[in-house]
Amino acid sequence: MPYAVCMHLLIIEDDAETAAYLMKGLQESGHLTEHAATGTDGLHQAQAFGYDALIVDRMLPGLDGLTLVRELRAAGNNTPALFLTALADVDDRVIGLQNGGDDYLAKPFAFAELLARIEAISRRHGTPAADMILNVADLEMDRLKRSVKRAGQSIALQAREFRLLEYLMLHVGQVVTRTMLLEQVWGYHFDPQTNVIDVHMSRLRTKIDKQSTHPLIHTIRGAGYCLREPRS
Amino acid sequence: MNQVRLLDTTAFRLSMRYAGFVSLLTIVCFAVIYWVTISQLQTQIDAGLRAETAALTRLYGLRGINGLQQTITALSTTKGLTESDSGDAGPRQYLLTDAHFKSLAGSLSDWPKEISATDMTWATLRIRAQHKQPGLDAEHHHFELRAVAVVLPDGYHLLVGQSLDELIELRNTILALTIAAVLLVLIVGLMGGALMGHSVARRMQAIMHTADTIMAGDLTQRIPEERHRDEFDALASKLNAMLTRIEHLMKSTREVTENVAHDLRSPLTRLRGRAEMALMKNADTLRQKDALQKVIEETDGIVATLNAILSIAQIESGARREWTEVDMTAACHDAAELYEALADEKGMHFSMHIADGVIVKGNRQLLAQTIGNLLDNAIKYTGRGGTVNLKLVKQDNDAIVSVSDSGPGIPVELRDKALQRFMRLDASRSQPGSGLGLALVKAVAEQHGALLNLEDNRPGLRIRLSFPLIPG
Repeated sequence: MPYAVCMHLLIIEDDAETAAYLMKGLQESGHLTEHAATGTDGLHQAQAFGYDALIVDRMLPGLDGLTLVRELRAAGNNTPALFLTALADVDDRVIGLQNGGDDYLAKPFAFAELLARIEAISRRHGTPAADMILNVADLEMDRLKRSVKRAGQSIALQAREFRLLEYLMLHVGQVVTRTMLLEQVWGYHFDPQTNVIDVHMSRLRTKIDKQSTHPLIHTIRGAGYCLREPRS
Repeated sequence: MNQVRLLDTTAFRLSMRYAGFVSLLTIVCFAVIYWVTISQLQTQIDAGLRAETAALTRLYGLRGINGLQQTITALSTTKGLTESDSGDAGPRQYLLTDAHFKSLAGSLSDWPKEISATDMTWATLRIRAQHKQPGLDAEHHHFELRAVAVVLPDGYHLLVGQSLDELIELRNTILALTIAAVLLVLIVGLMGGALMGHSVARRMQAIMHTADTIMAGDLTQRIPEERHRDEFDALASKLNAMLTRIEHLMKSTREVTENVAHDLRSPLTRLRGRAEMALMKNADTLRQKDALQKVIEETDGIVATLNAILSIAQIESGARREWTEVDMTAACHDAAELYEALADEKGMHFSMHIADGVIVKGNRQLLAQTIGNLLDNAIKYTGRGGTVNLKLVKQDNDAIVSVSDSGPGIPVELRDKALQRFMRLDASRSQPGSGLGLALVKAVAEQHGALLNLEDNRPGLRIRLSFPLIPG
């Protein structure tokens, strides 16, 4: 189920309005949030309490976001961190990831995108990436043999379709956005002007869900897609 | 303003420094000549005196004091016993005295105090000339005398001297010549420096004048080139090229600003309208929600446009970030795989011909985005049943990526325009998009040193990108 697991999140953001908006949105999505307005406070709080994920602004008073996460990592704290920043460059993204960030989101952002990404990096969600056999309802994927079966019926997938489904199954129950898919499945960090992802998703859905009465892949309006067990 | 004073020009200062150096060299040269000449002359004079003294001493041995006395009296009015080697060393002076320095014969009246009476003593004396002295007209003339004194047997003293007038005259000549030469060098240096300084200052003035005009706002001004093919022309031509580039950049910045203002005006108007609609009194919750949803969509559109403008600006700034060897074959396959589905969906025939092992230098993301944009455009403007083709070939030293479609194409006269920012050739703007797709392609092509060509595909459009291949 999406948004089913309650996460304990720390928002390190100096802009009060953005912070309030984030906290309200995340709370409405069923998560617990705390807020730190400076980098130094954020670092202390992050070290003192075990959060499920951190949302870190890059430019902060006291201690900038990059240094904050780097110091956390140096201290052995591996709490997943998502950088939130007005610096939208591809280079800035790379620098963010090199400094120990787990994901990167440019301002202004869609709340759904933030929510999907924070859930994706949090360890409370999804399937361990080491599992070689993935199961969602009657859908089964063998990542070693690279085979997919729905209700025992083998389904032939192209390489990219396989990776797309694999990503969805690893993030079962989570909303994944089109940008996340483009980044994770295609390795592209730009905005294709047309929604090509939708076309690929629709192809995948045809192969996975067409024959079944219980569709597994769902479109989440204004956000993206979600692969989940049929509601009982 | 900014007038360069002649004396401050580098050319003038350099030639002055050079003239100073040459003067110094001249002085050193003349000093060496002077020293060598004078010391040689002095050696000759001393040798003459030594010979004369020896001859007179021999004469004394042969003919006694009376003979010597007669000879010296005679000599005092003529040139001397032995010929002086220099030939023109001036008259010799003699003095013969007894043991008590009482004069017996000679042209000098008294025994000079400066020279002691021991045997073979050398000295340079300063003697007041007597008016009866031949060749000297001044009453109280002093002259310098190189003299040697000997003691003859029986206590007689003999002094033989040679006037140094000739030597002093030569010394004066050399000194005068030195001064003249130094003056000449300085004058020529000054004139040359002034001439060069003036010429340099004049051409500098032209450059500064142009700079002033440009700073005053006229970007079309250029530095005059004089076709001398010298370094100033080279500089002027480089600066002019730079000015052209700056003018171009300024123009495009202005255009972008205008376009941004213009292109954001419509979405911002819509944004505002939607927000007002949501606030209207008779709006129900459902319509409010719908209006707000539209507000968000408009905002996303504006952000996307701004991002595209920013990335084009960043690419055009020329910074080559994350520059690596990019496998174009893989990039083309990936892009084809992504967009083929889209073409399929729209009922088009998608074909590709991708050569193996094509590698170029560049930014992987930007190249992928470029190919993506080309395919996206082709698919967007080609109708159902049309064809879209992606091709990658190696030709000579180029890697050529071409995307062709069977769409409406772009008329020749509009092809340049199509590459400009915000240019959308369908006036209705019926297709989605920011109008920045091809502008980004163009910027990436320029950054990667690639040639971008828009061609007729009969029917349709073919866009060709020729990237320089990595040699080897």
